[in-house]
Amino acid sequence: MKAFTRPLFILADRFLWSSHAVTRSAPHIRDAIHVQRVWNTFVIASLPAWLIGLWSLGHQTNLAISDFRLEEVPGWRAWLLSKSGIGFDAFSVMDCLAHGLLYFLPVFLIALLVGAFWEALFASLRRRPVDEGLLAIAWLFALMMPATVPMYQVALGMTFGIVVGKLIYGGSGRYLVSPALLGVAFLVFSYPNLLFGEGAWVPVAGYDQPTVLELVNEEGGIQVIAAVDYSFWQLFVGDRPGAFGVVSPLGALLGALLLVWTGMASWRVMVGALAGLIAMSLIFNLIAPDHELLSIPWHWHVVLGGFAFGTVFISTDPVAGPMTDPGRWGFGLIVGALTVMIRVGSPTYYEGIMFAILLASMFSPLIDFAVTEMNIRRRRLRLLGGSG
Amino acid sequence: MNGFFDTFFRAVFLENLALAYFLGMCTFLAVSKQVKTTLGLGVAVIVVEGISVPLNNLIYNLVLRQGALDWAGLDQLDFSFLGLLSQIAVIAAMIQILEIVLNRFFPALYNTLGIYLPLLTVNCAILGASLFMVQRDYGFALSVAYGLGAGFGWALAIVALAGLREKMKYSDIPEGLQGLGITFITTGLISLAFMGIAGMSF
Repeated sequence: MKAFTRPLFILADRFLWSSHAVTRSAPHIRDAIHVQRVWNTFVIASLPAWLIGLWSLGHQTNLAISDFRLEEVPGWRAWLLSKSGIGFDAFSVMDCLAHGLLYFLPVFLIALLVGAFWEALFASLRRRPVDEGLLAIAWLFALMMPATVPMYQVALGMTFGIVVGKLIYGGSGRYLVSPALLGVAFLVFSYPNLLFGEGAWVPVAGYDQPTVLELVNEEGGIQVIAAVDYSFWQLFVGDRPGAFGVVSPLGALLGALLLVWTGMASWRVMVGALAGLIAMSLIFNLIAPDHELLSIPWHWHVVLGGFAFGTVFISTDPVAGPMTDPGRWGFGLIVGALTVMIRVGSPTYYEGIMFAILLASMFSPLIDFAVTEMNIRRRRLRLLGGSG
Repeated sequence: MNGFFDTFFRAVFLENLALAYFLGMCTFLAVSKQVKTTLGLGVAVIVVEGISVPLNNLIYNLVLRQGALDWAGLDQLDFSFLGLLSQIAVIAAMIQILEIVLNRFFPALYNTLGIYLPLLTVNCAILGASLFMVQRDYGFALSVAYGLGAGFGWALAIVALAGLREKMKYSDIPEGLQGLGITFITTGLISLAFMGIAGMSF
């Protein structure tokens, strides 16, 4: 029993802080940065996106409640809200934040608990120290969930993500794709209605408004956005139905600034993804200026769906992406271009950024390989040219 | 031309022989340890598929199919039951010829491929492509596209797996899963990633 409880204890102890163990032999690295702090920077950077997302979720929910003229809102959340004196006013920031938070917290806590269970199990059975980075993985995973997700699906997705995505490869620094992303992808393939269904986004019975990306993809083109009164800046701020943290490009942009400033994430991947997205949509615009999907201009692609969130927080994963600088450019370009291609080309899985990152991660060691080989060839040529 | 590109694209990404049909798994799992080897193998598969599928298409449409021998007054004859046999024979003969040519003109590539080139004779991805070609009733132009696409898709898959396996040298994998076990799981992950673009059509 102690073998199992000790890792749990360490996990709780190192929830935010790392150990104070000092290396006894060389190399001695004198720096404040370590794995746990890298991951925590990701969590801190996603706080603006998270806050705007919570507000947006509460806003949509409260709007739906007042639209349906619900006298009595069912569920424990409504009970808690009315007991604590917080109302359902869609235009009070406080009310919206509280309502959104009550939906987010259970999802996050379940993801965290399930993740902690598997971490502790693997650590005790394999007699390894507890792995770091659980907090950030559970956090990012929860941010990509819709508000109506059943709790058993949260547990299933987190289990797949953390066991198959991370633990069997040996933990942080050794996995192949971002575990949070893998968990979400697993859920999407197992339960297609989770992210691609009417009524998946706002937890009020009878509510069936699609996300803006769904509108564009199913009804055809951006004309329909104008028809239902979504403006560009409204989408940019994030006032729309969507997953917990994914709705706000503005929040993602703030997060990106922090990540780049602290040096935790590669700006090359982000700029590359943006460039790929712009290039691909310009090509499509040229090919078919009248096609309703192919003709979507690039600045709409940037604010639609989860592109901003995925690019900033998921595709910049420090382990799954390439390690060389030219490789990062290439990785970003692939992610951006594929996102647009999947969005306009795939009628079933049009949330392109997720699958784009998944696919690009599979080829990231290969991109590194190509860059290294080219470098070797160039230096060999230079050497031979110099000597003879 | 549109159909040509479309068939090629479908064969590479949507109906990938390795990742969607899990064909050619023995070579796929056994030879995918190093990127450099798989690059050679991938080229060999592309060449073999690119020649054998159109060749089989010609033989099937000009000789074996019912009504193919109309010009000789033999319109009752239907040799399509010989399809499997002739396809294997064509593939085997072709690989023999390819081996001789490589040995003579590209000894470096021949040495890299080593035993795996003759093994392609019995690679089910190669025969599978020919069988799919017959089943789907491709014409000659489309069979060229399909052969090249199927080969390219398989090559792409094995090169990606080799890249991941080189990266996984630094992984700390549980004892029971080391070697083939984790390779199967990784193949599954690549397959999952390809599933995301499976519904794509233009």
